[in-house]
Amino acid sequence: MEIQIEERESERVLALRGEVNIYHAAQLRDALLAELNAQSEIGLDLEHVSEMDTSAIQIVVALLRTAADQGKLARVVKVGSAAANIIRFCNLQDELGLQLP
Amino acid sequence: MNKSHHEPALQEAGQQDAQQYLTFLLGRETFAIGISGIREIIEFGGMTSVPLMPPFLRGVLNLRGAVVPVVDISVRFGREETPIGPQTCVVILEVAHEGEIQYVGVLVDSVNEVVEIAAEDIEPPPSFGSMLRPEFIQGMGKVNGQFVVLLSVDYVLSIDEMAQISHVAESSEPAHE
Amino acid sequence: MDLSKAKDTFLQEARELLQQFETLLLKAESASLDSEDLGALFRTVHTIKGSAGLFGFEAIVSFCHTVENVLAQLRSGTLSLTPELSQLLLLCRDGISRLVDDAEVSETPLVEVPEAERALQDALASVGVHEETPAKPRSIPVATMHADVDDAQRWHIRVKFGADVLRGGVDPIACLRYLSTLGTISGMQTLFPSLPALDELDPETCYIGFDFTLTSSASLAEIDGTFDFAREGSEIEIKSLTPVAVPAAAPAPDNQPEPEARHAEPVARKPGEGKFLKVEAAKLDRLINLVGELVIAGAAANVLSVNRNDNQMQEAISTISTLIEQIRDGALNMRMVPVGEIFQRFPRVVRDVAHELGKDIELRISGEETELDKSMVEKLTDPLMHIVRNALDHGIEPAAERKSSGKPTRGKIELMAYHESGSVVLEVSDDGGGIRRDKVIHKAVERGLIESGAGLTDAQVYHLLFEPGFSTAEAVTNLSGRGVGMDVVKKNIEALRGEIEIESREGQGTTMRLRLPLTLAIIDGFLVQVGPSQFVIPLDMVLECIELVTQESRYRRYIELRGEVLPYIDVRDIFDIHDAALPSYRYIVVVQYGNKRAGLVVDHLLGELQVVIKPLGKLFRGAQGISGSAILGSGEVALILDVPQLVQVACRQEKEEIEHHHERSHTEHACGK
Repeated sequence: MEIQIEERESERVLALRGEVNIYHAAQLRDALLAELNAQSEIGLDLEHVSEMDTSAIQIVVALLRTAADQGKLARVVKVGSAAANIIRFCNLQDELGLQLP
Repeated sequence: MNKSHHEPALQEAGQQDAQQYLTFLLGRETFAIGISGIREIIEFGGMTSVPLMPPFLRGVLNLRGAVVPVVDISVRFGREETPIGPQTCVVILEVAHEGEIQYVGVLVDSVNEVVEIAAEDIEPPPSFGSMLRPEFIQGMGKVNGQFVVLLSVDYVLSIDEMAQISHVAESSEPAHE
Repeated sequence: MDLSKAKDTFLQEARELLQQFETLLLKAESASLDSEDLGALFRTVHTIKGSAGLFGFEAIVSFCHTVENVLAQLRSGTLSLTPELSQLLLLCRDGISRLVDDAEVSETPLVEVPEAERALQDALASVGVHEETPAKPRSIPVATMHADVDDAQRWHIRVKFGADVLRGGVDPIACLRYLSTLGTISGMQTLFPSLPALDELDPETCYIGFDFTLTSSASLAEIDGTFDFAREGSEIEIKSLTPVAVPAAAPAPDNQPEPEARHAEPVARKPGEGKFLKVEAAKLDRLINLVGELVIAGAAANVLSVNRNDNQMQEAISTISTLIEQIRDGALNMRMVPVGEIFQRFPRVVRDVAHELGKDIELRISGEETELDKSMVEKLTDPLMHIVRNALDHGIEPAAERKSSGKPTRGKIELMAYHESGSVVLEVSDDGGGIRRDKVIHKAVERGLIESGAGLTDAQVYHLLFEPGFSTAEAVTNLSGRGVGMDVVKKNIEALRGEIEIESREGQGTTMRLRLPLTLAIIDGFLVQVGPSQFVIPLDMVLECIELVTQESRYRRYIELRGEVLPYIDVRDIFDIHDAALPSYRYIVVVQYGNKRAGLVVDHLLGELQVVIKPLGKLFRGAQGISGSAILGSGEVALILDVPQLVQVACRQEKEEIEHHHERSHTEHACGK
């Protein structure tokens, strides 16, 4: 897994790449937590994620919920096929504020 | 340069060649066995004889819960049975057999000492005169200026051979009167 | 994630399922399968396929898929189970078995179906009609695999995965994805009932749960099985949404599968199923060894307390002894498995071999539930197999011969197991031609085993069959031979402290009876002393002890016991123990082995005790009349008597003695002395 922080147009985006699974869960949580503590708006780009598992999904959900609780905004800005696939399977489109075909 | 690098290694190897041996007395003759195969030495404290076995299989003893056979190698050498006395000991040896380690006890009149015998102090066995099967002798070691027979445990305590003898001995045992 | 354990489970399960599969198909040869059987047949392969998918054994998945299609058609009645199809399916079973074996050993699982199995696939494809069997079933989207199955049911499933599931290497979403291959998932809700805020979230703790509906033809056990690896700490609720079918008063038509009412129960597991704990055999052996040591230590403590005359101590130790005994029984019991585990392989063997020999043979099995020591089960399979093959090959006569001797053309082989006086008995009987005494003697003479058959009892003649060198290429066909003679069978059985009895009646059949000890580890014994030596007699053989009344004739070695002749053996004589004074009173221990009785004359009776059997090792493999040793509470080693062997030795010694006297009296006569 790679995490890249990109400044895009008006927003700051955390782009994840590669396999995002239990082996990276701690790293992912720490990265997202640091970002959440520092920013008031977070964008998450899952376009180039090649694999996601339960641990990744629950961290993403926790990020969005925690941000909302703190009056901040976190959202998934883009998904690739791997991420879309698992989100669709879990029927988490609404939870993640996504509209997937 | 190269040479000086090698020399210490050679010396070490030379030292390893000087192996330690346990010497013991059996029928007034001194024998020795390499200590690497010896597990322990116990004082003779009784054993249970197993009936209908050849005389060199003197019986079995209890070694902390394991039943260990006791071999009288004197009988195996074709000599007289080893008498039991106050000095009698059992040397417990580890013998490899079919990939497993088996303990075998050897009855001796008394144990003497552990000595170090350098490789160069070991002579090949004589072609005759020892009154022993040549394969039983690993070599003749010089201890305190005297030659003692270094026994080849693998042959003296060959499980296969001894089992074979006991099998044959038993099944051809003549009916007693 | 450590998959090796899960893989072992898969391998074992697959083999059990294949065994079921085979049993069902063999049943079909004598009776028609009902819809429940057909459903079960389908499910075995279906389950193997499903689990194989989890591990990426694609060749298995692919092959099973083809087989499953045919089975689905059998189940729905569009195809009927002809003998040819049954044979083909049996071959497919072997095919799956080979693939499973391959999966066990090879590093990289097969992806493509190997050629032999592919040929079977093609053969199946020509049988199955309504669905084209795809050459590459992997290209079918998994989720639609079951679309054609019409008896699907709806299940409401709620799962809250346990907190440690992720750490256990299981991904809940992957679990559900697998579940979705069993049918269709709808109304999925992913729940995070206790998801903490990000700063408190433990990245490796599992917080996820699901609530959804599954439409599937899979059984409850299969659905439930999906969660096998994630059961710990998880809450799993599976409810049927399909209305419970009320069993109709009239039987359902044959081709219409009956709705299985048991599916509707929330927990429809078979009683006892899933309550087993798989334990590594070595762990159990260590436990049993320790218990064995405990028994010895307990006996030593008991001796001490008796010597000290301390009543309270004795009482306490007696309580401990009782407990140790219970632990021992419990531990040993864990090793007991039903003998059916061996027997279940035989229907197939008998069927195949009979087929090969062109004989019509029926196999009857009884007593499968009889239990014996697990370690024996493994060592009994080969000898038993050998005996059965021998019965098939040499026992049962060809049909024509049977007909001419007025027997039914169909031969019968019976496998039986039962407990008898502390032993397990396994019997293989056939209704064949029996052992021909003259033929055996002829051959034994030819082979130089005996000089003549004169004076030999039938039992002695039959035992010649077990002599090394008796069965040779001439007698043993490829079939029963496999390079081992009956002497190996005998050796194997004796290594288990067992014995073989043969009963045979010419023209009527043969029974081979294997008599084995219940367990190999610990026995209840009766301690006796002869001269300086102590011996243990297995207690279950001891009938009674009586005082030896001095015989009038020094040659006579029998007494009359309640109207019967009881021959006895003086242990002093037979073991050549003469180095201790003869006590004024000696005793006869009356023992029973098999259906025979004998007396053993000993010096002292020392009472009952439990001992751990310690084998004497290879050096003493020639020992006769001794089956092993045991360490007594005093630390001394006592030898355990092998009563049947002791009797054999006594018989031989007596015979030799008689012959010896006979010869001597003759030579004396000839020399005119």
